[in-house]
Amino acid sequence: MEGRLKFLETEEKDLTGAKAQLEEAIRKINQTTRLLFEETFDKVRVSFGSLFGELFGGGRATVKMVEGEDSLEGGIDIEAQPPGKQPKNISQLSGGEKAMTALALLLAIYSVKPSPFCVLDEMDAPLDESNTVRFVQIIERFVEKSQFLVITHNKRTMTSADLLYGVTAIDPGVSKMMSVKLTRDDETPLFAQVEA
Amino acid sequence: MKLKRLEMEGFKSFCDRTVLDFHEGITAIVGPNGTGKSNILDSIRWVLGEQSAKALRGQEMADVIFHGAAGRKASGMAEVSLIFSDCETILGTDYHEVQITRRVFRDGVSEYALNGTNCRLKDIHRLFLDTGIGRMAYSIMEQGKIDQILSSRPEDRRAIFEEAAGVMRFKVQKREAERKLEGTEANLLRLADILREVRRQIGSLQRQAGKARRHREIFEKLKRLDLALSARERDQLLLKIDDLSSHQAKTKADLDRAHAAEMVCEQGVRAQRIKVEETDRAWRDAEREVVAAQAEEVRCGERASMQTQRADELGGTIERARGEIALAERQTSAQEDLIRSLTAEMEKVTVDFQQAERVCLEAQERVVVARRNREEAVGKMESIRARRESARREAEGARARANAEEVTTRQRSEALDRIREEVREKESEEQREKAGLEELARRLQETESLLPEARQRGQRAEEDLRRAESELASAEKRLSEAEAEKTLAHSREDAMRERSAGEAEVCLRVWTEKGQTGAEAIWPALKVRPGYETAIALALGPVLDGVLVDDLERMAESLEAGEGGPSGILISRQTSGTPVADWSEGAWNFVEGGAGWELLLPHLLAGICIVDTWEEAKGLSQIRPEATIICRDGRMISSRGWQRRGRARSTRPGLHELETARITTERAEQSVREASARVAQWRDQIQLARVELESARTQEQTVRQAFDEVRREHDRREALSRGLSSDVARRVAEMARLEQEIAVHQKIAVEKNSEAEMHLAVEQNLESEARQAEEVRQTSEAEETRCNDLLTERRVDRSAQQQRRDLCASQLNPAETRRKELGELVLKRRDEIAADTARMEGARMEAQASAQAQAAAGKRAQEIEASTSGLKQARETEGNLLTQKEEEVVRWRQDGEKAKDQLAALALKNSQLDHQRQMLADRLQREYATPLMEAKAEGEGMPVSDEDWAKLEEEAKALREKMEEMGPVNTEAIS
Repeated sequence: MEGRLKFLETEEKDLTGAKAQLEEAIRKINQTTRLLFEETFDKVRVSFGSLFGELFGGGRATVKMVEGEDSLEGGIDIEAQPPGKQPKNISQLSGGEKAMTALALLLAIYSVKPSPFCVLDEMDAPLDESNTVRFVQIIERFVEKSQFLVITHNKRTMTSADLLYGVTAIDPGVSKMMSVKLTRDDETPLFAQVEA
Repeated sequence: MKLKRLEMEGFKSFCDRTVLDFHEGITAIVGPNGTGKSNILDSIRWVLGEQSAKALRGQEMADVIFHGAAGRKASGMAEVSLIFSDCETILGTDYHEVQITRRVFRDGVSEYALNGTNCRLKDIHRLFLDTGIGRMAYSIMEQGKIDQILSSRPEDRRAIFEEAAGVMRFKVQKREAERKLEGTEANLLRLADILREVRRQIGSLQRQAGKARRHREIFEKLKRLDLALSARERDQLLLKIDDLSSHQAKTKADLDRAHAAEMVCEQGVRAQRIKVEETDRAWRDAEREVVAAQAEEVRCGERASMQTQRADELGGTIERARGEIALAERQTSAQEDLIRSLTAEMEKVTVDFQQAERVCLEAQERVVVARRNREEAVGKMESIRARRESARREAEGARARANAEEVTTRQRSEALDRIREEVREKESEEQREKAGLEELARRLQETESLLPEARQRGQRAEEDLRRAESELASAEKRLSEAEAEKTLAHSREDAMRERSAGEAEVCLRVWTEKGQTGAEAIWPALKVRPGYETAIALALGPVLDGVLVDDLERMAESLEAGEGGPSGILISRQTSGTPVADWSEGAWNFVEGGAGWELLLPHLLAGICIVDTWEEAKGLSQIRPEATIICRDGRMISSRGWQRRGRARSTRPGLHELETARITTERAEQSVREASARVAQWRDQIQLARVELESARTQEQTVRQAFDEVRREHDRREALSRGLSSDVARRVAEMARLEQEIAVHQKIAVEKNSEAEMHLAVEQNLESEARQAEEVRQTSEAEETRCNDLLTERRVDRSAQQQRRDLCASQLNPAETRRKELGELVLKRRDEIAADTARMEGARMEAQASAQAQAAAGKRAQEIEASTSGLKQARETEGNLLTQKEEEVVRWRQDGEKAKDQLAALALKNSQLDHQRQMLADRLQREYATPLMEAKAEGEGMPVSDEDWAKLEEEAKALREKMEEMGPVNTEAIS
């Protein structure tokens, strides 16, 4: 019985030690997380501001932490001011402006932490001609960092693609894929049609 | 890391296997709406582990499987693979390429694979953690969801940033750590509980230890007894078991024997059964062969008849074909005749056509020539007409110009006349104006000469006014000086009067203050002849300052009443006079007093004479030595011998000065009055001067106004006159210009007229020319028409020929074709005949062969049927033998069964005993931890007889009861 008592006491000591170690680990993780997050957040904010200006041809935008909340858990607010307009809450922006703002944010994040690839489904649909041009220019700048798979109806966006896949429906409900490879550099095969 | 390839099969609308190779840079997917572009995106999200069917636009996960379409069956499985390359750095794996695959089956079961090895979803999540890839990450942006980044809640937005910051890994670690921490805390709590319990128990254990020791003692004793008892029981059991075993062995031997016999019999049965089966099979084979041979016979018969029929049919066909050939050959020869006739016709027609065409060409050439002639003529005419037109136009232009010039000339001369008239008018007007102007100038001079006079008068008046004003100023100054002087003199007089107030005044003042009357000063009451005042004053002496009173004593009393009262000379009115000498020079003659004073004055002045000059005085003193003589100027000669000489003053102190002051005052007042009078005078004068100035100014004003008016009038007239003259000059210049212009226009008109005439002449020439050209044109036109008609005729001719030729050709072709067809038909029919003949031969031969085969088959069937009856008999004998053997086997088996039942009963008994022994062993092991075999029944102190054993049993039972009474005992407490 006494042996058991002794054993239990050692075990208690061990457990207390383990608890302390775990707490220390959590504290370290929190610290690292906060550092990483704040660093990324600052970079994204700067990048977002400049990309917004580029996409809108002026204006101002920023992201900031919701006030009064810890940077580990707190939410994030977006403020956008298109050129020549009052600073607005993002819910008051028009559809196209929303799309552009979101795009700016997305690309800002890419510029900080490039994802290996990016799929955009009809992102350019609400954009007008000139905005599409800017959109494509910026996308082309990111081509170095990541691959883009864009689904689009926009001719201007198509012209910037390196590889075109066409989807058709031969029978209703059955998709068929055709690939059209565009070669921009050596011009020789302008496009070669291949059955995929 | 690169996205290399996407492979899909049976996923949504992609029912066939579809492969998308990705390129570096931008890969675009295009296509009409509803063709399944977004399904590609869905497939990527799905393979990355999307769990929500709703997010994939379906009801349940099995909806992603291709569910069939028109002419296509639904797939049973959907599979998507995504292949990445260059994965080493980002994913931290050893593979260069990583392939993730997901499959789903119709029952909703999902499978994941990593490089072809099955894995869990969690593994895939872990692989892509913090890379920005994942179903929830920002790398996949769905259609219409772009602004969800904005509209989602601020906390949700954070997830994207966390993914980008690469903190998801840490979050997972943190969650794990927190979970562990919770577990540890729970463990700690439990441990604390246990510890508390253990500590409490240790106390009670020590109490229990004593009891346990006692228990052990009893237990040891019981153990010894029980072990002995058990050993005995064991031995008895073992004996029983041995007995049972021998019995069992015997029964077993019986059983084995029965078994062996059964086996032997059974073997016999099996052999017999094989034999039966063999005979049976032989018989059945023979039967089957009979049936087959019969069937063969029937089949051969049928085939023979069929072939015969076929041969007959073929013979018919051949006959028909031959008939057709004969017909075709007849038709062919007819067609050939037709072709020959058509060819001959054709040749003729062709020649005709060529002839017609030649003629036609000639006609065409003629037409061309005629047309060229006509065109030339037309061209010539056109040019002539154009020239004529231009000549006419020029003539008309020149004439119009000449007319215009003449009109202009006329207009100009009219204008010139008008201007000339105007000039004349203006000149006369100018003359008038000049005369008026001179008159005005004269008037102006007159008015101007009036102006200085008026101005001089004004200046004079002004001067007067100024002078009067300065005079007034000086007069006013003098006046104010005089007034100042007057005031000064008055004040001085007052001061003098104050100073010269004598005793009389003082006394009177005292007196009047006491309310008394009946007293008066002497001096003021006296009326002195002017110029004699000094003399009178000297004559009166101190009395001059005296007071005349009604009641002298009373006054004196009042004066003397108090200390410091004034003194004075008092004279009573009641003073009685003395007789007065009748001297003309007597002083009393020169002065008068008030009422009642008639006696008093001569009394007071008795013995005093007053003369005018010192000479008279000296003379009189000689005459009247008793008298005191006083000169008017104050010199006096006393009767007592002294003389007053020099300029005398008033005897009363200050009186003289008072007098002087009074005089000065009067003088000052006089001068003030004078000055006032002068001021008033000058004021009047200023008034006059002002009126004069006013009138002068008015006059000047009037004159000036008149002057201005005249001058203005003059200026106006002058400007008018100047305007007129410049007007005249301008008109004269205009006149000159007009005259020049008229000259020019006249000249031009003359020139143009001559030009027009020239052009008219030219036009007339050209007109005749045009007429000639017109005639030429008409003739050439007629020629052309004629040629054209001819050509048309020829053409009609030609086309008729052509038609004929075409008709022949069209007839020829079908005839040829028909002939060819007929030839082919003949050939084909011949081939058919040959083939049919061969086939007919074959059929005949086959029919013969079949009939032979039928006969053979019938024969064989009869043979086999004969051998079958022997085989049937053998089979029946064998069957009887088998039944006997089977009965023997059944007998042996019954024996065996009996032995087996006995053996089973013995085994049951054995196991019962064994169970008893086992129970005993278990109890010993449980209660005393002693194996059964170690218990000993013999030894020291052990009973021998059965009675002793019963006693021992009793003892053990008692001990056991005692132990049970002790209740539960913690044996561990001892340790």
